[in-house]
Amino acid sequence: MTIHRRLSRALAGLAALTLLAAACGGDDDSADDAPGGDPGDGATTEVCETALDEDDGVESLSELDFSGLSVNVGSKDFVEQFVLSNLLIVGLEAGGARVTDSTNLGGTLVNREALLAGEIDAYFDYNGTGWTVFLEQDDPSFEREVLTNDVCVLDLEENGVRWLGVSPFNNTYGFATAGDSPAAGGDLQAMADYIEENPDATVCLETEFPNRPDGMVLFEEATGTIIPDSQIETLETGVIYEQTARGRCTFGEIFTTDGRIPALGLEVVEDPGVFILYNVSLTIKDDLYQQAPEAWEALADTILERLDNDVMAELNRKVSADGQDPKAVATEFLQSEGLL
Amino acid sequence: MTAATVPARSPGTVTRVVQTVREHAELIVTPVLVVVGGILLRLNYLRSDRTFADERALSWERNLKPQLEQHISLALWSTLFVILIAVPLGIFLTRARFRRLSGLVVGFATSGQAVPAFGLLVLAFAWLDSGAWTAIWALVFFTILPVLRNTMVGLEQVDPSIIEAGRGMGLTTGQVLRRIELPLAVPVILAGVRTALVINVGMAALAYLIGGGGLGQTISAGIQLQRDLVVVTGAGLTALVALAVDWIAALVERALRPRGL
Repeated sequence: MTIHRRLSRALAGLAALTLLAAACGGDDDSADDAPGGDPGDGATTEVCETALDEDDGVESLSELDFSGLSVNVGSKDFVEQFVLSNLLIVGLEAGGARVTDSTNLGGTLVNREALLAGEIDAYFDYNGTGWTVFLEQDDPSFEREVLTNDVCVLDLEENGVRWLGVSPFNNTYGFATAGDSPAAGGDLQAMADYIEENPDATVCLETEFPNRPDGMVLFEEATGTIIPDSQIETLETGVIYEQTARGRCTFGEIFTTDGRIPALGLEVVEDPGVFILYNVSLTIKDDLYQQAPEAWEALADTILERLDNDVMAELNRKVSADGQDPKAVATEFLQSEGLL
Repeated sequence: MTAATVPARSPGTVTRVVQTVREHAELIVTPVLVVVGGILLRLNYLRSDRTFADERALSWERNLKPQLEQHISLALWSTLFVILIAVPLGIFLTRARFRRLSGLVVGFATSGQAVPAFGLLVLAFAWLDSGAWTAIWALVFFTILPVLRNTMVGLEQVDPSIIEAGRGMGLTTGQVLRRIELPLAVPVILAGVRTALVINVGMAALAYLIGGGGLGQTISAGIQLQRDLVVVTGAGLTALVALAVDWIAALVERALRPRGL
């Protein structure tokens, strides 16, 4: 019965893809080419301008014109989202928009539904989430621009939501060890081997990770290793980082841009492309985008192109470990980049 | 139950049946509830549109069976330790010589239950290591009060004249305790144990926070995955375990209750 269900789902997915390809026609090709190449080419036919385009960014946020716009900015309920929403708020205010701050609105679905319902106007979300959760698609691309573009095209068509910009940082699942651990320094395959060779080694996971379609199953498929129950310890998310730093978890499941990685000196296990991408983009409704398309694109690109894993983790650390105010951290960062 | 509304007039067959049902209502209703609840959970699972995460989180072999076993063993071990600690302590504190200590000890035990369960687990985690044993000790501290208090109350409510009569017949204080006081206190002590057991089943749902396992893992996974099916199944199974355990405790309670009381 399961096989039948899977098969029919796969067929349905295939049919949907075929339809989509037919519907998009020529646009599809130019969208595929866009990330690698010549910006500006086919700008009228391209539905989504998501590639990080050097020309889109601005030297100073005051160049942007958001005058007359009032924007309600939401965010999810964790530190990285606080920093991102404050970067956006400071940028919008610099461009003359009237901003309502709804940072820390709630979880992913709360923000998404608030966006669709028009209760908030903009928040940052992750391409992997968009593809697998909102659009319920399989087989995400492992190239960030391609994935974000795929998400944007489909989300715009189905829900009228645009995805602007794409961050170099990838806040995905991963594993980390203590900096001085003998297990440190390998990739996921080395980790699987280490676990098999050392029955004392423990892997600490949060409750949802073994069950997520983008979680443990990807590790199992990539390494061919199923970690025995005796070596798994299920813990609360927040506890895992500290237990890993103390060496009580040989490997701890982490988010790759968490501020506690630099704060506790954790070493991230290298991922050759096993866990799916979670690069961030600004998501807004198309009608709001149309009121100032250049300014929105420029703002998203200007902020996001500066954020790689190290920069984002460091900004997160300032809030989560140093206890600084996210707005102060955002303002200081934009100033240090000469954007204010 | 409906039986309560039947007036006890003529002591006919009907009344006798009603009385029997009323006496054993608890023993009959609970297993029915557990079975019906289990069937409902299963039906709800079958008729739901299940995602990958649902299938995986609710896999019997992979998750539910080991978590169920962990959950029950967390509750049983912690209750066993509670009995081993609280009953002797309760006897000790009701002896004339040590009675003045009772205020202090009961106060301490009360503080155990006054601290929020979550805080107690985190404190235990901070002092000890992660894992099931830490969770068990936290549960023990949390539920020591009902057993201790019931042991003391059970022993204190024994009519002093019966004790005196025993002493007058030449029994030693130890014999009085074993043959008169404890048998008379058993129903009250067992009621305390039952309370502790049910609290421990509920509390064990939090043990996952510190790596103690149990069905809390499924509930938490369901909340994080935002899958109602997973939350409902995890929470429902926890409730069924609590009901089933309470039912078994009720049977034990009836079996151990001294005859003629």
